[in-house]
Amino acid sequence: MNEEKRKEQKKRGIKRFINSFHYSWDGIKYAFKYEQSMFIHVLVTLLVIICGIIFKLNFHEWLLCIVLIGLVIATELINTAIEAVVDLACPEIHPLAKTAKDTAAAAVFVFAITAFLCGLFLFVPKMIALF
Amino acid sequence: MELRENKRHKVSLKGYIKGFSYAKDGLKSAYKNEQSMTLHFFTTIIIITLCIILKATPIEWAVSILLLGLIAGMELINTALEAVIDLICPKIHPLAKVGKDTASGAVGLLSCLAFLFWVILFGPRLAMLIMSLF
Repeated sequence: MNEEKRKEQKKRGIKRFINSFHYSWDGIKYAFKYEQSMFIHVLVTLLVIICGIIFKLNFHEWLLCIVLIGLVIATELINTAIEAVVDLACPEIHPLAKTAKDTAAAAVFVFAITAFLCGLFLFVPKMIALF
Repeated sequence: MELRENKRHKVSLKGYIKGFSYAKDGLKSAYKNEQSMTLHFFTTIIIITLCIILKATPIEWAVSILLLGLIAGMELINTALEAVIDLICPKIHPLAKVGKDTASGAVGLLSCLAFLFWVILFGPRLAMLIMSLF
């Protein structure tokens, strides 16, 4: 019975496509309200865009910047989603819950470090060329 | 238990630093318990060695590091999802299988694409280097 219900919900259609944008926007609003890291990530995004304009990146380097920015913000949202699911499944303290939340936080950390290192490789040669 | 809706997290330095300690715990547990992470660690070392030997340009370095970080992060997300699924339903259940398989599929797809990328990027230069040795 559950399988039929799921199959009904998964019907394709333009309405479901438009709804998904609405849900995504709700998710982004929630993440901004309750996660302080989102605020910091957006700040760093603005910083990267300003540096990109100052150092006059070429086309391919802008592409890489866009990928890095999108990656970090998307991962933060996935982290928020996993935390919500863990709280949903088991509101008490439980070792597996701690593992899940810690691993999701580690994923955000790894992505942020990766983006930072890529940014270094992107911007440091240009800064050296400037001086 | 406080409902999440009622708590508004203020921007605080202590909370931010706590996030790092959670991430460190997560990394430690992942490296201890998952053998796929050690495989990824060796891949990282091999790719970095290749980049140094073949003298990659900065943008190639950047994209290689991006792919390495992507795979590592995706594996961590896979581990988190597996922990969540085990938390909800420790018994065997078709939806649990769907969840775990899909997450593993994501990591596998990413690894294959990254491998393809590195073959395309380094293949010609590596072949020329090996042929020049003979």
